[in-house]
Order: sequence, then C-alpha cells, then structure tokens
Amino acid sequence: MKAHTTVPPEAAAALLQRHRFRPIEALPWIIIALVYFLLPKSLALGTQILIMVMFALSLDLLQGYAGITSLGHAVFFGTGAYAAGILTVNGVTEPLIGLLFSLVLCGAFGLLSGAIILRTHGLALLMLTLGILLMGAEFANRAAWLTGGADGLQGMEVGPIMGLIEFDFRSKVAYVYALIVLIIIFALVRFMVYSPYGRSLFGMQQNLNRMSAIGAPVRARLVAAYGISAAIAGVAGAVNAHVNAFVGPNVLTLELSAGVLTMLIFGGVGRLYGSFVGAAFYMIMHDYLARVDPTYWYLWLGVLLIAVVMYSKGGILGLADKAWALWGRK
Amino acid sequence: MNPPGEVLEIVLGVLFNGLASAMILYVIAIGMSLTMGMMRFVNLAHGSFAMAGGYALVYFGEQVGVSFWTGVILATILVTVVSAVLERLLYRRLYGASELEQVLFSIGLIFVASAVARYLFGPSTQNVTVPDSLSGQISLGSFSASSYRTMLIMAGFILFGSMTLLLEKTSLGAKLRAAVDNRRMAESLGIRSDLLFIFTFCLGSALAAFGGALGAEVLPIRPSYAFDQLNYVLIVVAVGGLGTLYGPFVAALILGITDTACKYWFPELGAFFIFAAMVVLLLWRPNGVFSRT
Amino acid sequence: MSEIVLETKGLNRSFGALVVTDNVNFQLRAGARHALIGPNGAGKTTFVNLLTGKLQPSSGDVLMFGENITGLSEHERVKKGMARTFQINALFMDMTVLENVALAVSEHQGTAWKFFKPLGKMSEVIEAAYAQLCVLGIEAYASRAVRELSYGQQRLVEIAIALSLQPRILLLDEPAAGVPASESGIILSALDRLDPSIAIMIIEHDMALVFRFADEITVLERGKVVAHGTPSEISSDEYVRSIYFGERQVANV
Repeated sequence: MKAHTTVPPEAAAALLQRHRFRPIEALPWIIIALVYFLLPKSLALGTQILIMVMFALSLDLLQGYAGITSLGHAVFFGTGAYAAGILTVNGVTEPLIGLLFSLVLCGAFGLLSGAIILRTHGLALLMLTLGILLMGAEFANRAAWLTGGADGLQGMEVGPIMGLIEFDFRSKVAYVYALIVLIIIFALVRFMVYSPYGRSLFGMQQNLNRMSAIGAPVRARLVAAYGISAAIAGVAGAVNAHVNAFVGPNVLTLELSAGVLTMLIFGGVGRLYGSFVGAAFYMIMHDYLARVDPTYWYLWLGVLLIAVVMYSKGGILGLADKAWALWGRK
Repeated sequence: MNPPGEVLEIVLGVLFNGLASAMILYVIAIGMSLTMGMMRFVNLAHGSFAMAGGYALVYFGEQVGVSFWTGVILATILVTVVSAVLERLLYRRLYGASELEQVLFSIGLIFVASAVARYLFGPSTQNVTVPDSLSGQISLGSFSASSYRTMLIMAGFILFGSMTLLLEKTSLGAKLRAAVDNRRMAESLGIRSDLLFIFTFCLGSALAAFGGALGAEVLPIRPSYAFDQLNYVLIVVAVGGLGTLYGPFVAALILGITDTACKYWFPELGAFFIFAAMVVLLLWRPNGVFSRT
Repeated sequence: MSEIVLETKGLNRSFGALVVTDNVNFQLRAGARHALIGPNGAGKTTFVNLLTGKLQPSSGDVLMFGENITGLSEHERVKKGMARTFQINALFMDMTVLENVALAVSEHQGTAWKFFKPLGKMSEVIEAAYAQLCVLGIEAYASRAVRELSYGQQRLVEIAIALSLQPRILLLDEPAAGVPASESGIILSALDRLDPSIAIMIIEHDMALVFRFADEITVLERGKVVAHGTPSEISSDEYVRSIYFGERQVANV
C-alpha cells in the first residue's frame, strides 16, 4: 500500500492543468456566435462549416489520437445522412429521433467494421477503409428503392425539432441546431481526449508495443475509438441531411473523405481546435474559389495541400504556435 | 434460352473485353506496385501519370499529327521526363514521411494535375484517333474480336514477359529485387538506393504513361481520370501484393474479367461485388494474395 | 526451494524451416535472479516474446503460477503479474516522463478505460506514478518529455514503467544495452535495489553484469538450452566457454 505522496507542482504542472478550460478557447465560440448575429446571409455556409467541424473532429479522434489513417470515413457520414433521411421519408420526421438513430446505427457499423478491419495495418488497412466506403457508395447508387440511387433521396420531410421549432429558409434554426449538436459533441471529445482512455489512444500511436506491454487491450480500445468516431460522423451526416432536407450520393465519396482529411491537415492534426480552423478555412476557400472557377479550386487546393505537407505539417495552428513562440521571445 | 454456341460467344466476348481492361489496368498498376514496394511510398497520384500519357498522346496525335505509335512513344518519353523532375523536386523529400502525409501529398498532386488537364484541354473526354490497322476486327473462327483490344491484350502479356526478364535475368533486376526485399541490406552491399529509386520511379511512370496512352480508347481520357481509375488500380496493387510481377498480373486478370462479367450479367450489383471481394481478399491475405510474406 | 512462478515445457517456435526456439524447458522461481545468456541470434529475445505472449509458440506450453497461459494474450499476462522491458526503449516519446509511468499505473489500477474523467484529476494515479519515479531516482525529470532525455535516463523510465505495474515476474531484455559507460552505473544500482520478492529474468551480453547480478544462469544457443546452473558452474563449463570463444565478453571469474 503506497503512502500518500505529495507531488511537487512543477513535476506535474502540465498534466494537472492541461484539461482546464483556457481563456483563448472561448475565441472560436465567440466567433461562431458573432457570425450568427453579424453575418445572417452566410448562415447556410456557416451551418455547413459547423457540420464539417463535427465530421473533422470525429476523424481527428482516429487520425490525430489513435493514429489510424482512414480513406473511407465518409462512409459513416453518408450512412448517418441516409439513415436520417430515410427515416423522414418513412414518416418519422422529428430530427432528434433521426440523430439518435444515426448515432446508434453508425456506432454499431463502426464497431463491427472496426472489429473486422483493425486486425490489419499499413496499406492493407488503408485499402480496407476505402473498400468499405466504396461498397457503401455502390450500394447507395444501386439500391434506388431505398436511397433514390444516383438522383438522391427524394421526398424528405424534416419536421420541427421536438415538434416545436421549424426549420426556416434563412438557415437560422439550422445554424443553432448544428451548433448545439456541435457543442455536445465537442464537450464529449474534449473530455475523452484528456481522459486515461484518450491518452491511451495517443499512447498507441506513440508506441503500440509499449501499450500492450503495460496491459492495455489495444485492439479493443482501437475498435471502441473506431465506433465512437463512426457514431459522431454519423450524427454529423444526420444533421447534414436535416438542414439540407436532401441526401445525395455525394456524401459517400472518396472526395469527401479526402476533403475532411485535408481539413485536418490544414488546421492541425491531433489538436482539439484544428478541426475548427481547418474546416472553416477549407469551406470558405471552397465557397469563394469554386464559385469563380472549379479549375482554380482544384489547382489551389492541390498546391496548398502539397505546400502544407512539405513545409507546415502542423497546419495553421502549428504555424500559430511558432508565431506565438517567436513573439514570446521578444 | 440461348443456343450453346451463342452462349459461348457471349462468354468469350465478356472474357475478351475483361482481359483487355485487365491488361491496361496491369500496365498502369505495375509501376505503382514497384514504387510502393521499393520506396514504401503511397503514391495515389500514379494514375495522373497515366492520364498525362493519354493527354500527351492526344496532343501529339491530334494537334501535332504524328502516327499513333509515334504518339505513344513520345507521350511515354515526355511523361517520364516530367516524372523524373517531380521525383527530384518533390517526391524524394517525402520518402520517410508518415502515411497521412504521403496520401495527402499525392491527392494534392492529383488535384493539380487534374486542374492543369482541365485548363489545357477542357473538361470533356478526349477523342483518340486509333490507326486504321487497329480499328477493325480480327476473326478467330466464328468469334470476331476488336483488333484494338487484341493489341491491348498482347501488349499486356509482352510487358509482363519483358518485365519478368528484366527482373529475373538482369543484374539491374537483381538489384531492384534486393532493394525491394530488404533495403538496408541492399545498401550495405553497395547498391545505390537513391539511383534505384529514381530509376524505379521513372520506370513506373513510363509504364503508367504507356498504359494511359495505349488504353486511351478503353479508359477515357478526362480530367477526373486519376480518381476514376484510382480505385481499380489500388485494388490491383493491394490484392496483388507488393514486390512481385505476377501478383498484380493475376489480380488484374481476376479483377478485369470479374468486373466485366458482373457488369454484364448482374448490372444491379455494379462494382459492389468487386469491392466486397477486395475486402474479403485483403482480410484473408493482408499482404496481398500473391505476396511472399 | 521456492515456488516456480514461470515455466515453459517443450516450447518450440519456428518460422518456416528456421527453428528459433527448440524444445526449451525453463523454470523461473520466486525471488529469482536468473540470467539468460547466449551468442547473438541464439533466440533470447524471441524466447522473451514467447513468454510475454507477443509471439505464439509452434508447440509447447507456458505456465504462470502453475496455470497454463499459452493461449493468453500479451495484455492478459501483464494483468496476471508479468512485466517486461524492451531491448530498445519502447516509450511514449512525446509524453512526459510522469505521464509515461502514469499510463502504466492507470492500467494497473484498472482505471485506464475511463473516457470521461481527466487524467489530471486522478490523484491516485499521479501520486503512484511520481512515487515510482522517486524509487528510481528520476523524479527530477517528471515534467520533461521523454524525447529530451539521454538514452540512459530513458532506460530508467523504461524500468520505471515496468515496475509501476507491480509485477511478480519481471523480464528485462538487455537493460544496460545502448547505455554509455558513464551512465550504466545508475542502471546497475537500480537493478540492485529491486524488490527481492520479484522473480527477475535478465537477458544480457555484459558478462560483468551477469555474474554480479545472477544466482542462476541459463545458456541458449540456436534456440536450445545448452547449459544451466550457478555462475561458477557456468563460467567453468567448457562448452559455454567454447561458444563464446572469440567474443570478448568471457569474464574472469
């Protein structure tokens, strides 16, 4: 029985303090609130950004913390979207029920597929994540009786939230709806990241051998992370379906998977707010450039990606860190 | 109920078309398998070199006006040179990088290549003028096959044969195989891995460009080419296993024929079966069905 | 004779035609100070991997406290009281020294699955981790990232992690390997201070360390046990001397 040891503060300062809410963390939320009040014409784009932040957060759990690279994460987003959409087509139009349904369905899907494919690693695992996405996409394309096929899901009717609050045409309700869901998801992820479980995920990325050697059931933890990540992605997809009142095959594309990975690396992988910065940056750039000329969008996206990978692996937040450190030295 | 002779003809037709697609896929995939096996680099942009080959052929053939075969050769040379430049400037900085970085880098390259193609040639599919010698049909008994597709099949087999000869019978090939098997050991034996890398990379790109140009009729040349073909090429490489020649060959054969057959007889399924098959095969043999590990 | 805590019976492992572990019968007793030596390529690390469950045997059994654990996974064996260190440090390089040990403590205390409570609030974990650092004399590095430490200091973290699991069986794979001579003293004194009730098996090439530390020595060559006994028996064994002929580690005992 170990005696009660006092730990001197300097020894454990970082560990004891890092989970505390820092003042600068309020900044993204203030900006999000300001957008609602000051930029009412941009709320549709704003809602899409919030949805992408959720999606990126879910992927960062896998990529930034557990260290799993997936090319197929869009399959959970898409499944969540279609599940929510199909539910409304069949009479269950209340959105919160749809969210819950997508959460459970995608969580189960994630646990199942994770249990199967996380036995592999490297190229095989990468291909398997892609393979599952491709299967999902092909299924959505072919099973027109369920999904509407290539034309997308027809006849979606999204009812008022809790029977009370109807979605409006100015995206105000949509924005707040997405925001509340994001707050809940973010809180969950934030707690998880600083918890022993979350740290053990990072431990697996750092040294898998060492994790097994300290008695961690590595595979079970990874599968759980995969399931949680899938569930969150599914919720993001459901919100997407609700606010757009439409689901099309573009929610199940490699392009979307690559896009969300890009958002992560732009913002900063493995950082809580990397998803915020990356998603906002990507979506705003896309909105501006793709309107001008799709060619330019792809060109600049590609050039930026290459530049970030070669020169700034920490993304925008990484650059901000360096700038902060430089300023601190003056 | 179709009479047996007709059924046979249909089956042969499906097999034949499947084989032709498979061969083009193989020609493109073999380069990717070599670079992945040798440099452990996940280069998803490999298809862009094939696309470049196709576009270069279109340029030389339609706008400069050379013959088909001259165009193919010129296209291959041009793309190989470009790839060498890219390897020196960009790729070599990322050989030790993480999987995520390599994936995102190559996706970025696909976007750039695709945007350049769109800018130079426009968004629609390019027309390739196939020479008269290849635009007819060959008769084998009661079965007639497109000359063009026959040529593709022959090209695939010839390539397989010559690559095998190169790898098995020459000292260069031996060095390549050694470096794929165990790079550090090969280096300690004096094999210059940086030279081998650039050689392998250029060889892979040359093959891709050749395949893209040659197969321009079968795999349509358009800006989204790299993404269109990425799935199939990746399946061939992953299922075939890295580092062997016959692995991707057999994988390409099975994939090409099964895909064509499925699309013909079970169009409701589409490509679902192929993707499901890949998942099952990779779970059974994660290193590739035909790899030696 | 104290009880046998870890045992193998007819343990075999081959990779294709290559036999790396050849019919090994091995016993580790409670409180043992047992060294496993042998020339390079003898299969010592493979044997440890078979003991810890990182590798499955081709045939034969591994028993722990009399119970057959051959089918158990690595983490299950750790839970039963086995811990190991690796030949090359296996640490969480970007985490602090304290957190490295804290993760192990958390696993041992059974709180590692908790996904809602911040690790920083789990004082039992942090205090136990810090105490473990004090035992090894590295508490001064608690808040430094492991990456910043010297190799010898990292090696101590490696041992601290293993000890924080409160093992009854400890397998140390070349604990002094890679440590510069200037730092090896601290490793040695750490080994000296280990709890006498823990059964310890150590793989080593450094014969001075082996003869200073071990009461019992097993010699492995090409996967087979070729000698077993006390240090004086082993050092006078002709065959053992012959297989080490040419390697400058034969100690003058």
